[in-house]
Amino acid sequence: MRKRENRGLLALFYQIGIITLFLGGFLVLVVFGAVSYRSAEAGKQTDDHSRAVLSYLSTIMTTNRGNEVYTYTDAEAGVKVLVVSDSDGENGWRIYVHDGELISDYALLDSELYPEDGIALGPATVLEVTRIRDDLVAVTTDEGTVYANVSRFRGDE
Amino acid sequence: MKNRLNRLYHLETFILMGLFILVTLVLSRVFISGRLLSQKAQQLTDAVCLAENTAELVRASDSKEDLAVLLDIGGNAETLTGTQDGSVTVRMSYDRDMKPSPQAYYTVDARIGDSGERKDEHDVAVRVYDPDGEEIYVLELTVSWQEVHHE
Repeated sequence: MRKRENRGLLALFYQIGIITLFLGGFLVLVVFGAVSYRSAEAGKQTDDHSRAVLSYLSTIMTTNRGNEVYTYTDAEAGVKVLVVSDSDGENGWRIYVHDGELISDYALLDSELYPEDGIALGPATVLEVTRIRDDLVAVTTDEGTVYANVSRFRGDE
Repeated sequence: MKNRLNRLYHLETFILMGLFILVTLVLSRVFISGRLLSQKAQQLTDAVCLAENTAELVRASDSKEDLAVLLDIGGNAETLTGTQDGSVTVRMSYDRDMKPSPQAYYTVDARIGDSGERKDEHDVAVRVYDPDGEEIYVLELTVSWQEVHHE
């Protein structure tokens, strides 16, 4: 009688063990899947963002390489502005950091900055423009550096 | 009869466990390949950026020697010469963040050869390699040194 009871208990533990093993394995699989998904998604977002910023800067600079490119410090906003003028010489793209975002607005070059009307390219803390030669400039943001061969660069240093 | 039922029960449990392990292995492989694909996409983006930057430096240069000087940022480049076809290869190394570094994560080769059509024209092939030496991206361009004038 006692032996039969023991055998019943053993079978119960065996079943509980199997169920625990399955549930534990399932849980580990779900957690691993979620971590992998989050990691892939974070990588994709970083990748998309760096591609968007670097491609934008590269495209703007190289498609207007015959036009004037210069930097100045906006006294009111207190930020360094990279200006890529359009072929008419009156309008152009102004690229600068405003409230932790890299902004690009297209406007009259002598007008004040309009970050609200500009395109937010993404989060940024740094915008450095380095003159390597008169016709070669390096633009560095948080995402990396873009080199552009322009007809003439004028820095504000 | 009872023994037979017991054996069938154990057999069923083992089959279920086998299936579960198989599914776990397949799913783990899918997750890992997802991570690797994401990493490769990031490397491709970096490689395109490095190749474009190199192409801009090629465009800004006016001779092979000038190009070698422009491409060398903080001692991250070496010039390989003496190949049979007279071409010159400048090998640059960058870290994971695409910053010039003697410790190479990305290796960029800019091979400058003669185009064969005009004397002042040169074919330039920019190749970007990953840490395993596998080619990620190639950018080919032709440059005419005479057209570039520095002020």
